[in-house]
Amino acid sequence: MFDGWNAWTWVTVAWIELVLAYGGYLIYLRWRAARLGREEDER
Amino acid sequence: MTSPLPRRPTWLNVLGVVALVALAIGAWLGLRVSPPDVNQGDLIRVMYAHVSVAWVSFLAVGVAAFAGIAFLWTGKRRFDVVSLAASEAALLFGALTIIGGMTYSKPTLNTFWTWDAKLTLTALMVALLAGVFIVRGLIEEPVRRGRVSAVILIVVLASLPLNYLAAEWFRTLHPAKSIDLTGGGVTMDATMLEVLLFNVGAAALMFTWLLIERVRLGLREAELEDRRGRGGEQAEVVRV
Amino acid sequence: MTGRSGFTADIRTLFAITGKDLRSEARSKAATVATGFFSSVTLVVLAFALGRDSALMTAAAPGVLWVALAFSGVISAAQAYQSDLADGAFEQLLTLPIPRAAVFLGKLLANWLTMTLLGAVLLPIASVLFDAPIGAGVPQLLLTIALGTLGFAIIATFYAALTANLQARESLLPVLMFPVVVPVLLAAVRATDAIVTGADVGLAGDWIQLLAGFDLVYLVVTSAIFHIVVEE
Repeated sequence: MFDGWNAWTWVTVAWIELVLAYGGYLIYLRWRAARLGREEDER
Repeated sequence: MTSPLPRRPTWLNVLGVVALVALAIGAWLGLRVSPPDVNQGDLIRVMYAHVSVAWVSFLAVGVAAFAGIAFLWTGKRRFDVVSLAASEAALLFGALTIIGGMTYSKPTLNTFWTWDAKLTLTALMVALLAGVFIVRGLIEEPVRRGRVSAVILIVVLASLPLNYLAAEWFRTLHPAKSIDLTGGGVTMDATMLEVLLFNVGAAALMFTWLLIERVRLGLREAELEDRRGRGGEQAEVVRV
Repeated sequence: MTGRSGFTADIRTLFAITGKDLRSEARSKAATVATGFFSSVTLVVLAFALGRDSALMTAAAPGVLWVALAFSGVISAAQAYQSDLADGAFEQLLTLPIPRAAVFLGKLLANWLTMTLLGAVLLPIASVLFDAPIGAGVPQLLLTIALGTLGFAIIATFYAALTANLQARESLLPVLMFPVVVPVLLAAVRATDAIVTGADVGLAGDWIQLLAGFDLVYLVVTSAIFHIVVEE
């Protein structure tokens, strides 16, 4: 599956991994903040 | 429903923007400004993404461990919050390092895994961090939880230099194909080194920003947990 | 704890704990049976599996030896605390006015002695089963076994106390221990291999030194922080 990939494909994948990781963590933070908001509102 | 995090300080927004901009500039430097490598050609541009987060993952573990030690020393909850936040960041950057390492080694060495010292060390570190989170999930009382996870992080920190030696000796004395994935085996000219350092800086900025965001969140979670504890209710979901 | 008499008393306490653990093990034989069984099964099964290729078998001998030791070590580490916890002996031990480090080191010593003994027994068996002659390297091999099992025992004793105190399941112990212990096992296997193949004396010495480094660092660190692991 990976044999057809040229160098720039790999480079693109590598940098997209960064974007996904950082973006994913920011989304996680937002989700956690929302959960906290719900917990606080429950009181 | 009001936003759960009111009163965002301006400097935090500035930091976030600066970090993202640095990341973008680093990417541009790595993708356009840096010349292709003599041996690896354009694949060297993977190295910038991978090596930069690798260094920051170890920085994060260091922060987590020293914050844990500070918690043991002072007993102040905020240090435990920092330790937890840095542990999450270390897990994030560590996992990213491993995936990036695989992305680097497959095209260059035609294998997804090499026993590269840094990669092996990172894999061990990620496994150790998973243990920290498992243990945290098992302890309900916040002070005890912070103390035990600090203890584990101390063991993790102590393990890093020795594990690196073991992995490095294993690699250099092992008759298996491997190149030095730290980017050090690659003969780097001045431009490439500068690009790498800039990307390391950008990754460090991202780490700092994400850490502060997570700590702000964690402090409020800790406050809620304490309130619930005092009220005698079950400190349920906001744990960890 | 003042003056020399305090220190001597602590050392005696340490050995007393070691003696208690060893004696209760000699009586119940629970861990001995389990570890004996597991290590034998490991050796025999792997000898069969690799039996076709005699060169491969000989080359694999060091690794197999340490795998057998490691499996047995985890089993006996988990069991060591279970029997203590069952009758509340561990908690009673902690209420006594002895330094936590003495409890830790006493148990560590017991674990280490049993593991080293197991290693010394498995060594000739593995040598025969896997057609890996050990000849003149026996003293160095025993040293390697002693240092390697020490590192393993330090980590095992520490994490076993941690999981026992958390009342976590026994299955958590290997999960926590594994990433810490793997590099130590790696160094032990490399040293064993270097000695058995006899090619490079300096190489074996390097790995043995690394083992000693692991042992020293982990011993100091775990002894210093053990009291936090068992506090209420």
